[in-house]
Amino acid sequence: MKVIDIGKDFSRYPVGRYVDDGPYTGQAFRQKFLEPAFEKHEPVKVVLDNTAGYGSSFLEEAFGGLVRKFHCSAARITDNLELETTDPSLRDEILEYIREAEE
Amino acid sequence: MKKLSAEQKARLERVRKERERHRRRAREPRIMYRPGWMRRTNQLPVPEVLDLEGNYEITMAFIDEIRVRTLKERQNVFLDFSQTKSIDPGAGVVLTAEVQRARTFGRSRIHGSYPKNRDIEQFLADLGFYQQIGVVTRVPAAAETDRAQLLAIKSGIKDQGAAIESLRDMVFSDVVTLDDKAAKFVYRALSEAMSNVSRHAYDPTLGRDLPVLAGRWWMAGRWDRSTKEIMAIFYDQGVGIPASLPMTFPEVLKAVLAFIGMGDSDGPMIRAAMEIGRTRTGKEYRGKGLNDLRRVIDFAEAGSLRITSGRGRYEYTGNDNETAIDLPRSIGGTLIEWRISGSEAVIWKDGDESH
Repeated sequence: MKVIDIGKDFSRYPVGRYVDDGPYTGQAFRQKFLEPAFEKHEPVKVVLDNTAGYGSSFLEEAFGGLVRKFHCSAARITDNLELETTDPSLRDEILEYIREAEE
Repeated sequence: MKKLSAEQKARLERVRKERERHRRRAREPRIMYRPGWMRRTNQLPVPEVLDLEGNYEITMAFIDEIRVRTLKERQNVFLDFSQTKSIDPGAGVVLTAEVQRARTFGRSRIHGSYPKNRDIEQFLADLGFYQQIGVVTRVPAAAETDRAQLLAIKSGIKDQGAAIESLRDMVFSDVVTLDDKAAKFVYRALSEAMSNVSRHAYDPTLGRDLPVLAGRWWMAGRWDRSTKEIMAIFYDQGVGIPASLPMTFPEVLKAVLAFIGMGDSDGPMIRAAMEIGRTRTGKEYRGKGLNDLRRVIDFAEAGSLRITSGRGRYEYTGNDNETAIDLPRSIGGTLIEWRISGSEAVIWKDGDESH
């Protein structure tokens, strides 16, 4: 399983949605880390706790964007994605973005 | 090619040195007041009270006058602070941004007097007003007291999470701090405000009648132990939420406005934007960011969010309590102010904890 720690491997200060808006956006994270793993059908664990926080735009584009990118079901993503965090509401929020992206 | 005479060479050298001197002076912070220059400028008195809550019309009439004189009429302007007694932090941020814009597009020149009121001068120095506009600060930065602290403006373009973190580190210091979860909500709110600037505020397809510092935002903070209040301010000179909302959510806006039943003037448009952030819109992946602005107030359970955008103002005080009104003048962008007061999520140190 590939383990990605957003705060250590990407940025402690993730912010924004699209790459045009800055270097540490949701789209940048998805393209650099999540898409390569999912293209290889590799299970991924994402560690969420080591950042200053997250905005909705970042989370939705990073994770909901996977469904749009691969034109797949939410289950295809969630079956291969583990979210590690001490904040269950953050996990629930991300899963909701993935589900809503399918609709 | 004809050779230059010694006299011609000497003249060219004098011109080169003079140009270099001018360039060097342009880079250095300037003294704010020059008596001789003042005679050639239009004096614009700064109101006694600059306050976007209690004195909105007069404050914005003054800001609009700066805009008209510097950006439309290309006049030199001299800001006379001699009668100014009070400046609200939000108004200070808007003023700083406006003066910065005037200087940037400065075929006109904007200058001013240092305030007679030392508290006002200290306030402007602490806010970073002088630094942002490239003028010498006469007073040193206020020593951090355990009573109140105003944190200097940070300004930038695009999304800069590190800037949010440094502001948060300044606000939450040796005197006051947030619990970890509250800190993440503050980061969430400020990062979404920043993202909105990148995405929507300076939409080039929406016409502007004034030049803008495209993509730029300004951010500041404040805490006050006597009132147990912390404050964060975020401002942009974009088109405003009421103008950008129809472009961003054309298909659902009409239904949302009908749902909230408040008409389509600017105040209700901001309210509609918040509603879109809460409800299903058919394009689920957009619009949630504005709701992030409110979540810190819900989490803190004490405080308010105020959004002034275009000619509208929206205020949220938690537990779904919200109001939206129209204002007599446009603020010329979007100003977001969070105030948290008396919350258990805010920890005042040195044994004087709020909980």
